[in-house]
Amino acid sequence: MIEIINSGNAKRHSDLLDKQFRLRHEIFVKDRGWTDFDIDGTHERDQYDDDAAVYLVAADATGNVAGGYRLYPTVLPHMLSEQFPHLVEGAIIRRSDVLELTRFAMRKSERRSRHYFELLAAIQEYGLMEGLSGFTSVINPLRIPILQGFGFEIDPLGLPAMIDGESTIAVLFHVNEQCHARVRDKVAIHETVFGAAVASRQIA
Amino acid sequence: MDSFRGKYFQNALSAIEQIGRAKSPAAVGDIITGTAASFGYGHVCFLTSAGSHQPFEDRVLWRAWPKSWAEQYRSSNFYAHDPVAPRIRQQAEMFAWSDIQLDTVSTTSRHIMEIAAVDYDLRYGLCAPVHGMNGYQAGLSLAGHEVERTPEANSAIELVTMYAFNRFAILRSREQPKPAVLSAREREVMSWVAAGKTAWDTSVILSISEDTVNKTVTAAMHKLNAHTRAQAVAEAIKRGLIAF
Repeated sequence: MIEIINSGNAKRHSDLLDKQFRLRHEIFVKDRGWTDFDIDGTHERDQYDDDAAVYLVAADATGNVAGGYRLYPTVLPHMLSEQFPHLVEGAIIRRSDVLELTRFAMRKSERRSRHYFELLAAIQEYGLMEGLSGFTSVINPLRIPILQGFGFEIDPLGLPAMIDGESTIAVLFHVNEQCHARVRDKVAIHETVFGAAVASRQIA
Repeated sequence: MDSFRGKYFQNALSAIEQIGRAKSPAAVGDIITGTAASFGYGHVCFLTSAGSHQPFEDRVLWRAWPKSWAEQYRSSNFYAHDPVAPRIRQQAEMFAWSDIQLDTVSTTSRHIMEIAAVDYDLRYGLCAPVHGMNGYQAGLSLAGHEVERTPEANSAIELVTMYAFNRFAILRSREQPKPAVLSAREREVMSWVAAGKTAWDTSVILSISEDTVNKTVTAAMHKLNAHTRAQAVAEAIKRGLIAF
């Protein structure tokens, strides 16, 4: 199941949120060497981990965090506009119906698990639930065919470019009913990934 | 600088848009050939990994090679020793032929590279692998003698490759579910096969030659993608082509 954690319910989910920062430390600091964001040797954080951020966290029934990612408004100064504007040709997308998706972290043993598939489906489900038209993101271009294979519709926003020895590209993931149906089909998940409480709130 | 990169991006974007509208694998291939040619690459080969036990020729998604090179590549079995082939399977990032350390490859492989460069004037080559969830999926191999070797050109090629691969996959998945349609005669013959009649029995029942019966069964097996008569019967029943 996927938990949606924002500034409104962060206190209630403090344990999950903390584990999310620890997992990011494992992945982004220990494995990928992003030491700039190592705040205390156990947690990874940057300037976009503030009240405007929303976290989608995949957790099992015992509260173990398998993975997650962060969503941030593009109408505020965000990673693409402030850190990587050179990856975008033309105007940077700043719209209330487009969020930026960053820090997609997956525990190594969970990379092809149901948690991973739920997180992929959640991109579309959350987007539709919130009336979004898409997400911008900075990814490795090698992920484009993988994510297209999962049914995503992806527009490049510029040419791939090397950053710290890794090829990166700015992209826009579209959100729409067709994409949602395709992704759900590919990962064989046909019910909500957010649990009954969120789903019923949406119906009501 | 912005407009310099921007020009390459616009070209890649327009190729990607055309790829998205392409109705056939050949139409996708033509766009790849055009993109490659705009950077000076006259040789194009897009190879899929699907069934790597399959012979080289069956795995070609698209190829634009001069006949003489294609002929020698096939007849001399270059693929078995092509140093590019194993690397494109192992490495997810783009690489140039010049990145291959000559002292790490076999003498045969060195000879192939030499023949390519000297006899066919393929002095510079570039490979864009496509790796998916399950590893190596496909690879685009380009070659030419006077090519544009800027990071922007390579980035544009990389991007177009990713989208071309996806389009090939979509077009191929649309092609596959072709429901097998058996002719009236094939259905008739298969019904008797299903009933346990031999080819001779069937030939008597239908007043046709035994040879015709066997040919009809073979044709039906082919259409049903079956290797044995029993498989063909099972498949024909499953698809509701014959009653049982």
